Amino acid sequence: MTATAPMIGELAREIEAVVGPQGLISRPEQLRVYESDGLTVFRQAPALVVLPVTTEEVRDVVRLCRRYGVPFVPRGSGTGLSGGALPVEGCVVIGLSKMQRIHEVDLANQRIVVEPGVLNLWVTQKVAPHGYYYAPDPSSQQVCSIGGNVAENSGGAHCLKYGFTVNHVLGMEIVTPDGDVVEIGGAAVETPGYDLPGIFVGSEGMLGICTKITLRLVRRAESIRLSLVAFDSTDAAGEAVSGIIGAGIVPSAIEMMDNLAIQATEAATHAGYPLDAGAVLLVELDGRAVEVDEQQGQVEAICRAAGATEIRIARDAEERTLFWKGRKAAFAAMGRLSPNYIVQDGVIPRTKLPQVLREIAALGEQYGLRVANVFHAGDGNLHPLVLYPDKDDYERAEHLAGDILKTCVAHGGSITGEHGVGVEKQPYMSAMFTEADMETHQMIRCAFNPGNLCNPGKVYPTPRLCGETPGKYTPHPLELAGVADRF
Amino acid sequence: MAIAAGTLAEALGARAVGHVRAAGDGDAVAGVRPTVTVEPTTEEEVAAVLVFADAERLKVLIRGGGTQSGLGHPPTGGDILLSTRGLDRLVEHEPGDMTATAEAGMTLADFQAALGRAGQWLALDPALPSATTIGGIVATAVSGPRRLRYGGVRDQIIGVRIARADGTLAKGGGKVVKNVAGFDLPKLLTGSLGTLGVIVSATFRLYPQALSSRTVIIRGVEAGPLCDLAVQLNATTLVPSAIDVVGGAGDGPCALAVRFEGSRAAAEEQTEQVRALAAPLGGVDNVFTDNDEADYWREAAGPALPGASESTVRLKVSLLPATIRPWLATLRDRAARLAVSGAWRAHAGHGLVDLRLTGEAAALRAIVADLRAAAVVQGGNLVVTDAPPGILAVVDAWGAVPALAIMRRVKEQFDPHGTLNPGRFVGGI
Ligand SMILES: Cc1cc2nc3c(=O)[nH]c(=O)nc-3n(C[C@H](O)[C@H](O)[C@H](O)COP(=O)(O)OP(=O)(O)OC[C@H]3O[C@@H](n4cnc5c(N)ncnc54)[C@H](O)[C@@H]3O)c2cc1C
Repeated sequence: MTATAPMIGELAREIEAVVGPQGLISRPEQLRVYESDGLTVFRQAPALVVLPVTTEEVRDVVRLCRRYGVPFVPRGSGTGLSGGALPVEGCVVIGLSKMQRIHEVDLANQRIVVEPGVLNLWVTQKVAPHGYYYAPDPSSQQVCSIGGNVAENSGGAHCLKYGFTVNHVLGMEIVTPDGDVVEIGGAAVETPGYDLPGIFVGSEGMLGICTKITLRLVRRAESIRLSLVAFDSTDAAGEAVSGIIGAGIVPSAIEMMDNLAIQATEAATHAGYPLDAGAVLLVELDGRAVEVDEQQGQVEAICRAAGATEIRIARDAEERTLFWKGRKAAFAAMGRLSPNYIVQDGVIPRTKLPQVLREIAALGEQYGLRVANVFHAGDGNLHPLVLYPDKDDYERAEHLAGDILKTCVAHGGSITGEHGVGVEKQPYMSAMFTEADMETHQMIRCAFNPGNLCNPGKVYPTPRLCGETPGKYTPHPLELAGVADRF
Repeated sequence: MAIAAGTLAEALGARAVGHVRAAGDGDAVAGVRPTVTVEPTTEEEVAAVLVFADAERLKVLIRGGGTQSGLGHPPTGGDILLSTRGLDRLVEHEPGDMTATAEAGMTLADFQAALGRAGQWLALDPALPSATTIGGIVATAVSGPRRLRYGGVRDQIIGVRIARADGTLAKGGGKVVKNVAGFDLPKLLTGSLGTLGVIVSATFRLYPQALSSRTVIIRGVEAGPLCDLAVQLNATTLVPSAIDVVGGAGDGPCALAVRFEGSRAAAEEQTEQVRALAAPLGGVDNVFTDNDEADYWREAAGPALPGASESTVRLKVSLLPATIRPWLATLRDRAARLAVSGAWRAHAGHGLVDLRLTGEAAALRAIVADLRAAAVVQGGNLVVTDAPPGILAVVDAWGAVPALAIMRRVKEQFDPHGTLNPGRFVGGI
């Protein structure tokens, strides 16, 4: 269903009446900015981009899209790595980046209410002076939006102990794909009824647009200790990870990088990572000082026993930031090794780590491509970076990336831990789920988004038809043609 | 519609021999007595029961341990009682990955015993662990005091397998702790009270058992100052597993119980901090460890236990932690005026309050309405978890629910004929 040019023109005029000329983008050269998200190999220019400022504007724009039968795609900062915000042909992109207000800070109850365009890091910055922070910390936290985090159920290095976005969202105001403004969840820890925030988080923009989010804040720990530990090999580092977890310690983060990743990062950030190491671990402990001290001793002993060649403990907050900077800049730093690369996001049961890393290395050799590894080792979330110096090698790299994901699934894992399925991993959904599973999941989409105008064509390879839902509004062909209105 | 046990047994065939019987009085759910009880032992058998029910347009009630049969509205119908107790196996436990899968009918106590052999546990501590089943825990999303530290069911569940109302078997999530592939079916099923599908198994992330644990209890202080202290504790860098304030409906002294888990030194040090912070209140403090501590927390489940009589209601109230104090003042005031007695336990760190009240029917109706209004006005809510039929006939167990229209559509998608636990959930879903 592609909208005709005159119809889009008519729709644009109506949208402009809602958001004003400054809220509408329709010039082709400006639309191009929105033709992809962080996954730039997929590109499609939208018909229009709208930048609403209020919930009412979002609602009215959604209603207009619906009346015209034009698909719409929510978008935050556009840093998604799976094509979640990729436009579909003839669509309206609804960009939430102008909705940036922080509505309420309630420290006594450890809550904050924000708009979707608020950047992840701003939440922490807002409450840091009072000793609080917002726990989910994607590496992109300086630029990604809370709305995008909600849609992707984003994670970060500290999710091992503190959980993902879904564990920190209590309630939301959403504009449904039908154009209704609805509260789901609330401010309290439980709300009667189905856990709608629980399914909205991670729904990759297919269940509506969130316009206000109530987040949980976390008290900054008394003591934080970050160690940078070097090993000769990823096997040795993996053994240390298993040892730490096996000892009953729940660190706030355990991150691993292999030699290739260390090379790239060091070149880009000079964080002081040892260039000759086969792997480094970043192990962070937090909690009460007495307990952190005890656990630090255990961690060091376990790492030494696993063959650690060097253990460096960040002296202060500044050095901690520097160590983290190396890890958080890892994706971007890959540019130093190869102009083109694919970031993958497979998950495996942690105990399979050494074996899967060997299989990935073997696959890399088989394809004749280098693979760097950066990952959240504590929860088995791998980010293999498939490097392909020559653009023409994209297909080969993509095949390799796909094989890596299939390896993860074969070991009982998942095709994505935090970046989402989007359009990129659609072909691999059937490796994890049966047709019946996927049909069942899509019942959720049918309940929220029966007309499938809200971010269509994402996640599931075959869209399910939703059947006749009572009260569902089907536009008349004359309306679609812009000839008649429904007033 | 009445069906004979023989008809269902015939439909299920050889695999169900001995699993189907005529329902007895003990099989009634909130006064609704089904005609047939079936206790399948495999997920295929569960599916076959549902295919049969779907074809015959029969209503199916689902029961695990039966500890929460009073939750919600009484069902609007029920022909078949499907007991999950035949599905009681541990499917998988991977200590190195700290994940485990159990069938729905396994009791929490059995599950914990199996995990405990590897020094791990499912970090959920609801009341009645030896009767409560895994499926029941997921369906009702029950939690306990230590939710403060570990989160609720939604925070621990990573995968689920269900039999849909039409008998289709489907799964969501997986068995790794981090996974965003596809919609989060496990969260949708959590707290769905059996209205979307029969949970046949669930997978969870696990925690290591704590090295040591201690609980400090401050007694003999009024509720108000204790609630303030709880809010104050929330704002410190202490890491308690539970902060509970307990008391009776009327005036009188209350108690604060704060639990710490972790290394011995850390638990001791934090216990001392609490004693120091509480000292100005002038209460009496005690520190419990080992068996004393375990006994204390077992008995602590009191107000959360079922067993409504004609004159008792049980409530679960969700509040913002800092509003517990004024809400309790409303409770004290109304209880005195309406001659209602009772006991409550406020999980003051996360904001859930378990409450059990006894009084005249009219007084109970009035106090529930007032307490609900007092919760809602502060951004909270109140659910009646158990009450005599006379009260449920006039008081909505769930209260007003936002987004009910979407919830109805979810139900229509999953269970278009309203087969599963009909009428028990919000808005009569
Ligand atoms: C260098 C780099 C590092 C990264 N590191 C991490 C990491 O450590 N962990 C991690 O999890 N991710 C990471 N990401 C991925 C990405 O940053 C996250 O997925 C992020 O949450 C996307 O936010 P965004 O605002 O850019 O959303 P977008 O990319 O604009 O959109 C993402 C999805 O959200 C939907 N959406 C956006 N706003 C709304 C809304 N208001 N309502 C409903 N749906 C909406 C879109 O339709 C789309 O499906 C990284 C990305 C980059 C480029």
